[in-house]
Amino acid sequence: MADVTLDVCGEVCPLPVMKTNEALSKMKSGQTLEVIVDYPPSRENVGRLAASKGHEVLNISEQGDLTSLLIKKA
Amino acid sequence: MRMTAAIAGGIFGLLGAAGQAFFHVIPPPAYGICIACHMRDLVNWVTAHISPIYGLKAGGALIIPGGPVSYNFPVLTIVGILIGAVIAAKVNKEFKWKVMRVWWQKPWAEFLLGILVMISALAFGGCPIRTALKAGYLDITAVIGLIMIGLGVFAGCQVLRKL
Amino acid sequence: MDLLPPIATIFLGLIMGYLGQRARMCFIGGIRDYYLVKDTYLIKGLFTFVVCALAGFFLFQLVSPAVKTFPWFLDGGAVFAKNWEAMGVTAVPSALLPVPGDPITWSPKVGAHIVLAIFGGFGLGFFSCIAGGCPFRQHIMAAEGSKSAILYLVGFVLGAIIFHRFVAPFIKAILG
Repeated sequence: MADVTLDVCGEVCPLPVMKTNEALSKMKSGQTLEVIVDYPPSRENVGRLAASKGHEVLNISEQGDLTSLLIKKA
Repeated sequence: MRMTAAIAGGIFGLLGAAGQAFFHVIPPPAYGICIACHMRDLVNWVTAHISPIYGLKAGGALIIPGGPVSYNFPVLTIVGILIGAVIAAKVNKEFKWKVMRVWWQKPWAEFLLGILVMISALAFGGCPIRTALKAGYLDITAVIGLIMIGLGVFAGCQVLRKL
Repeated sequence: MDLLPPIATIFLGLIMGYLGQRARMCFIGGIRDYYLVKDTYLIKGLFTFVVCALAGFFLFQLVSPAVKTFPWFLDGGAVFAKNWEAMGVTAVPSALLPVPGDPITWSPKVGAHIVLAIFGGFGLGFFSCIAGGCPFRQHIMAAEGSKSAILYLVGFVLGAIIFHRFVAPFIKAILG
């Protein structure tokens, strides 16, 4: 179960990435963040953001249109 | 090979140059791809050709004497882009009717922003794509323009953070 | 009537629409993503665009006569001389004049062009960033089904009409 959940359905770039960045910076190391997106470019952007900052993407699961990414802060 | 933005950007650059060299999209130079200008030309051509039929006077106001390319032929780039993108979305199952959630991207706000962006683009002489093409054509004003667009984006980001 | 441009541009548009949708191309997004989160994915697209356009113009200059005014700052100003005669204006062409795109840009004063570049460029960057993308990206989003982007397109068309009826004479009167 994730420590923090962030729902960004219905928002386009740059908002999902911006909010993910903010949320990650407020969390402690080792906590997990679950991001729920419904826009494919947002999914790619969030994944790339996490990888480039060194955070680990633990799981990507899709339910219908929604995709949820589980990110662990390094 | 995944189609990344870098590869797509390269292909667009070559297509833009080819538009002028091989496809007669020429007076004005460096006109191969432009969203704002081609849209303006399409609107011009449509009203110039429809209004005589229906006797609409308003069409006359849009026609620019000596205007760029819109007298002899319509540039159908915009139509092509829309059709191409719809095909891509349907093929990859990414087509979905949606409305954005944040207030400044609601339909009425985007309508206003569309007007403002078009006015800025035509005052400037091109949309961002054509500015990059002009910079490739070694036009000094275009490089100044690119820097100003960069500053505008910085200001926009500051505003976005407060919203 | 020359039929090559309409047919060619519709194919160009088809290719651009398809690739743009797959690759999530956006020119403003490149600068915005780099500034907000140092993401270089889109800005690489911008760089390759300019580099390939340069290379394209260099190569095509050897092959086709239509690219004869490249590089622009070397002899581009001379293209204006004809239009200035028609307007009854005598002025010396200079290397700083921009590539024309619009009857506004037939003005001989370099200062007017620089002012337009500054204000127009800033407005373009600012409003596009708030709208969520450059016009190209908005077209693709409209094709993906976003109702907001479709209204953006309607505003786009109206903006062209408003510009040529109201704003253009205004700018001409101020800047000459």
